[in-house]
Amino acid sequence: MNKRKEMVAGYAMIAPAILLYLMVGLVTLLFSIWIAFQHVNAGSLISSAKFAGFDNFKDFLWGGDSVATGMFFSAIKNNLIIAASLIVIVIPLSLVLAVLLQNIRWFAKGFRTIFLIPMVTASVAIFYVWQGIYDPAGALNTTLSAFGLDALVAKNGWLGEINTALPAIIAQTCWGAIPATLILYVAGLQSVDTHLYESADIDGATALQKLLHITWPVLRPITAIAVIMTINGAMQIFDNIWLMTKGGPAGSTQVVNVLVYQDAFASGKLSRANAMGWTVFLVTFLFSLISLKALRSKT
Amino acid sequence: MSNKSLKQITIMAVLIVWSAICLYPLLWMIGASLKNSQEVMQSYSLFPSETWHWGIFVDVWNKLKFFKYFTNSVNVTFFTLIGVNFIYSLGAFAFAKLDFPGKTAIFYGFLAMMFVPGITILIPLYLTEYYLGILNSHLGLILPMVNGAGPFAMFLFRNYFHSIPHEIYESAKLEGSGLFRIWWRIYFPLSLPAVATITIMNFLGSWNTLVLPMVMLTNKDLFTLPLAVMLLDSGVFRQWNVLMAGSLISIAPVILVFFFMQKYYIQGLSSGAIKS
Repeated sequence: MNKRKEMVAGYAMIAPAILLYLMVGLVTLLFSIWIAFQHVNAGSLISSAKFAGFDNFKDFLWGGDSVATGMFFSAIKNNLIIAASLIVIVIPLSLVLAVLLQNIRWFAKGFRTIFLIPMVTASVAIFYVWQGIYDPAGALNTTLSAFGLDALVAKNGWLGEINTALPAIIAQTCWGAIPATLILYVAGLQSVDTHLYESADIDGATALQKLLHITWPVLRPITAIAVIMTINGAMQIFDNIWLMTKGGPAGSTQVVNVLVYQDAFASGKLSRANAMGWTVFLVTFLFSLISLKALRSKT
Repeated sequence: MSNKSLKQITIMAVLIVWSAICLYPLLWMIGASLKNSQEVMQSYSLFPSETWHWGIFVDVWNKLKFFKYFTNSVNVTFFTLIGVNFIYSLGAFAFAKLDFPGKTAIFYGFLAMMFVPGITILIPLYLTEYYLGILNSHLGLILPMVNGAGPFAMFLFRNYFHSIPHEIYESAKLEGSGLFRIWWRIYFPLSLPAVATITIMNFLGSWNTLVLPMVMLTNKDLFTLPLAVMLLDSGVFRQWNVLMAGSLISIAPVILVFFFMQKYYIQGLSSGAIKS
């Protein structure tokens, strides 16, 4: 009797969570897989659906629609460039800043608070500011010419030229991505047992030996998490690009999520956009698995 | 000068430079909102050289209806936070303390949702909401945001409940308290640090969320602040001071909440990593 009561209470307690999960989660997910294999018209969705096989995927993967294929691959390429740049810039810089925070004697907490500001303010508001900084008459150009570096000035603004737009986006993205990684490393460094350093000192270990045998074993799994977080973030990037360039100029900052959004809600190609969304998800998942394996197997 | 203090000074210098880089955009926003619209792109100084134009804030708040958009954002965020904290605290209590068939499978099935990124299901979500008739409503934002926050909240609450000594549960049961009562009177109050972490993480997330309202809302009266800021930019030429005043209004609450609850925010970030 008591067991039965517990069972009923258990199901009742998880019911709100599960109902919501079924409604906007699981059903939507299955719906999404189904749509990816259908031809649908934007106006009359379910009634107009016709089985499409892999047509939607063929459209942008194998040149079924050569324009879409071209755009898709150049968008994926930009996502990968952003991911690689973030890994190379954000992770080492965050680690260095975390180590410095660990070693500063005054205001460590104050600095940590300030360092989180880019993440806290990551919103439409701050992306407009960056647009202002990159403006033809903005702070970056003004500063460069004030230092006599007129050759470096981007005349149409940093977001307005094909060569500079993507690097400008990457710089802004790094700025916003450092806090999350930094906090991981700060937490990691705090969890290193300081007694180990002391006994290593007594044994006469060098700084390098201490780094390799005490610090790195703690930081390695954190680095793995940071890399995966970074890859995910770079593949999911949308807000800042939508606000600052909408993928332009001439597609030079186009990324997959912006393309999915435009394909679905501007061109009405709902099922194709959905198929794209799934492709990106699988690619991201694959990259995450590879990096997890790679960072695990290293000693 | 000793070697040690030289080292400290160098570290301090680097940290100050990085602080400046972190703060510059925010200061630029504040400065630009106080200038007049020509001065924004013409002057070198961060803050206005002559008059500080506070009036712009009044205009944005009243004439441009930011009061309304602010209320909309408060509304959406408030109900999202209520939903996340109560639904998943209750569910986590069942997963942590009670025994029922299929418990483990349901729990992991639930957590698996975490791996599916938002935009993959954005289009079907739009269709689901269309069929449910909740497009163009705040409910249409709140439900997916609550569900999106679910796996992390459930995980955090369950871990927290596991860390509470089991004797407390046993003795409450011996006294004859019902299970809902035990959750509400004992477990929920004891888990307030977890509530704080979940609240701040989701406050920032839902306050700044962009794609979801962009897709689900077309009625301007329902717009949340990020969309309202974008409305300020819809003219032929951009009025930087107006845009920045609106921007500042839109992120001021986030910055305030962050300063008061950053301890819990940092805990949330670190535990989010352990989870993955």
